[in-house]
Amino acid sequence: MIDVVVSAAVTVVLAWVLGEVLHVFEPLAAALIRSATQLLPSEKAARYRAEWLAEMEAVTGPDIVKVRFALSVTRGAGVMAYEARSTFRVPRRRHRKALAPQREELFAAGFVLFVIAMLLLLNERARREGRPHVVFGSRAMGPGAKWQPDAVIESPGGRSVIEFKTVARPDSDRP
Amino acid sequence: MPRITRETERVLAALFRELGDWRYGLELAKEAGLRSGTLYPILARLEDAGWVESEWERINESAAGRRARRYYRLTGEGERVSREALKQTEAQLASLRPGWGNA
Repeated sequence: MIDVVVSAAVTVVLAWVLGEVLHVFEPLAAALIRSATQLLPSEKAARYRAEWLAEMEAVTGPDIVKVRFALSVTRGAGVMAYEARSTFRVPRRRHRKALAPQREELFAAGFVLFVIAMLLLLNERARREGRPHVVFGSRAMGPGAKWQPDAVIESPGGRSVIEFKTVARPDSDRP
Repeated sequence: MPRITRETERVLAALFRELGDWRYGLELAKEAGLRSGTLYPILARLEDAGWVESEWERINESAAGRRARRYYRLTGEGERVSREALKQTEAQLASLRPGWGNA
């Protein structure tokens, strides 16, 4: 289990470094801001989009801080939309071009999906390798039964494989 | 009229500190110690109430190499309200320290 946690941490750090190197975070933050301002009434959307994009550029430090800024203003836009009693609406035809995602934003979204896919793969690996006996045992065994190591087989790759057999509890009425 | 919460007071105090000066959002967020997501709804409420005014920075974006920012400052009404709010806070703080008023 620990190796999976370490792998997940390494994946996140690598994604962060790669994101910084490929300058993915700034367009990602811009995309977040663009989508957040769609929540606002049309008379305010353009103003806040321009304002927050300008503010995002002024954010100093690593690019990932810009994503944090964008997430924060997304929350703020939600509050402002609620206060303006506006609901989420599909952009009108004349706004669609202005609000359509740009190429680098699509690239950033693809990068995020890739990272999520990697994390899901790691999670699946953890599920399969880390807890096979628990998952299998809970389905196959009745209450009171326990696993008992039967044999340890050394594979040619040097990895140990432990085989288990089911041992019924003495007072169990199971056959 | 917007409710003066602790966060609103911090924004008013940040704007009050340099009266008459135009300040942009990120600068105010740092000074008030608030996240941008908290600051902007407050600024919008204050602006709707006429306590704060805002205008776009007048720059040539291509020459400056950045987008124009939106700047904020207190209006006359905002200044009056801020002064009162800050005075009230000071009075509340003084009442929380027993012995201070008795000296």
